Amino acid sequence: MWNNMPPELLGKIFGHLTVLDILGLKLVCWVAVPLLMNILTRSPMKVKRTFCDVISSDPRLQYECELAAAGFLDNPNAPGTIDDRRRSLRSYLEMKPVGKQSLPLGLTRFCHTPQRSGDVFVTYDTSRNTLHLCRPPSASGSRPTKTWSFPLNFDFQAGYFLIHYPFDLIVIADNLSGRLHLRSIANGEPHPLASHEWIDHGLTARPILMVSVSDHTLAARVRGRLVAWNWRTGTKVLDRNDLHHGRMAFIGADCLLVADSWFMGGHTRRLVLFDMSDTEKSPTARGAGHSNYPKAIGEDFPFYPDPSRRIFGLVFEPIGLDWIASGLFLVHSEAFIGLARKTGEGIIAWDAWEEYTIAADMHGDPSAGVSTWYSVLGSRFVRFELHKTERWAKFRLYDLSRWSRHQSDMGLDGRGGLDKKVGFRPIEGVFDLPQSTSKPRDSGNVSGLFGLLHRGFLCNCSQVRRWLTDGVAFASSMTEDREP
Amino acid sequence: MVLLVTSDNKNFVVDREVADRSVFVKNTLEARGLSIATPPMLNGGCFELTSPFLQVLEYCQHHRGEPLPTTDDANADENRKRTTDIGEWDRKFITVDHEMLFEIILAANYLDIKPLLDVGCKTIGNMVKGKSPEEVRKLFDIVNDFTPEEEAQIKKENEWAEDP
Repeated sequence: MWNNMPPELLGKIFGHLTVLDILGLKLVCWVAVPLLMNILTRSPMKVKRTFCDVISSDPRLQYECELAAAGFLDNPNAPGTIDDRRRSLRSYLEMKPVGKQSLPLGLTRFCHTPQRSGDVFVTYDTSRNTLHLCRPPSASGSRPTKTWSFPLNFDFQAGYFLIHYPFDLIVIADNLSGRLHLRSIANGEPHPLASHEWIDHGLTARPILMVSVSDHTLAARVRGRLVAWNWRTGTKVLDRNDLHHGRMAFIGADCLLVADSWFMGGHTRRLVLFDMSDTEKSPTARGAGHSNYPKAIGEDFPFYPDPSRRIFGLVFEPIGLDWIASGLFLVHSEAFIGLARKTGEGIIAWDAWEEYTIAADMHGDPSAGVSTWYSVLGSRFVRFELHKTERWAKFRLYDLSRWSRHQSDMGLDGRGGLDKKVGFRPIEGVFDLPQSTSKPRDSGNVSGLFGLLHRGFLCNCSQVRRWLTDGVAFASSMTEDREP
Repeated sequence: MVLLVTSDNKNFVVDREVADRSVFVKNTLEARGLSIATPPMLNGGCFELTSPFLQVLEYCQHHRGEPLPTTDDANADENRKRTTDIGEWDRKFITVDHEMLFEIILAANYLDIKPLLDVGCKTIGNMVKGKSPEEVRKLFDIVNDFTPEEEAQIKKENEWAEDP
């Protein structure tokens, strides 16, 4: 039935639904996901109205939502208070098309799947088929904002992109053509080192779900398939059809760690490690000083022996946890990673090379009125507890970037097998949430707060805390004070 | 009176007033100055047309003579969308099985009968509203092709919108 329907009719049907209904429908089947996302991004009025229902009492959140609904990216340097900025945004939106000369407040246009690497943000403008890049100013003001953009010359309706700052590289996966493009961040020209753009007919049939890139290798995860190329030369180095679902990340120099899970009479989960470093690169790039790299896993867990390429598999027993495959990798350093898995119960980070747990944070029984959330960004993860009525928040931040295997003063007291837990002291704290001024019951607001809290907290917790307590602009907390 | 012929060669003789409910038929008749039209060659003829057409005719007969909605007026469109309620007669009329409902929508779209199209779309919208994904799948006979992990991933993406 659905398949016979022209998309514009489906648009009419779903146009009568709220955002929440549409998000729920995304769970129905694969066909629905890109379609519904399209509807969401193309009906800003609807989105705007429902967003504001959800977060009704916080002007900052509403401003952010209105920006998103109107298709703008905030400009942290815009003058005026949040209320002023909201007003000017609204008056701009109410203007007739002829009156719309320039964008208000120095805003930039719609950000579709914003990303950052280093401190460059990339956003995709759906209406103009253009990539925008923005490097925000440093907090000290010594470096000005830089923005630049370039048009894409292909149809990028449903796609994915990834930026790799150290190599000046943007990887764009165009899901309609199944083509992978490599561009330079600086000017949008084809990347000088990568002479190839890849089209693979196997990729077109199914969406590219994930792209990961390292110094030499570009890996693309398609449903049920994993393909990797050496992006400098264009040679295909890997093509596997037996990897089902999960995240992946490059660890060390050129080792690809792939989480895989499938369901056949019960969940099976494994980690597979592909070592691509022996093809065309110097051995010095391997984790220096870590002599057992990556021997430990390979010898103990030879699940996928492959004579042509060293591949190691590692199966984790589900230790009372729900799933691993959509867990999040914490890429830590040259030599090892921590892997955190987000579950119904908690989150764990561990050293994949030596197979012990670095840190684990599990739910106990939550007390009444308290909700607990986890979030991961880069090498940090945080646990939040929020008390909705008493309006306080407690956080516990695990910053694995501060941790090193060879550092004994970080609370490490030993290491051993997989289950051996090593003490890792998180940063803890409690702060009060601002009292709600309007409605007594505003759980929706708290939920919206959570999302922003996570984003900001993991970037820079002190600034978000200031925002929450003093009303400091949230945008500034997104700008890490990092000089180039 | 005009004669309408469906793609499966059934003839229907209807009042001009009834046929004019369809903007498509109206325009065709006006353009050709004819009283006989052969409109509904639905795309590909992938389904039997007579049954939805009968329903559509019934709708047109009931609503004959009502003013046609002003076309392409953004305000009117917005107003139409805002009202989720469907008239009493229309609700009874549209209470049919899902397949028929979809076919009526397709026919209404093709024949350009905006009010009927709206009624159909709203009805499906109301059916979906507040239902769990599982219920929606059951309702429209859709196969769940997600792996449990993919499902969990999407749930996670949706988290921001849900009440904790």
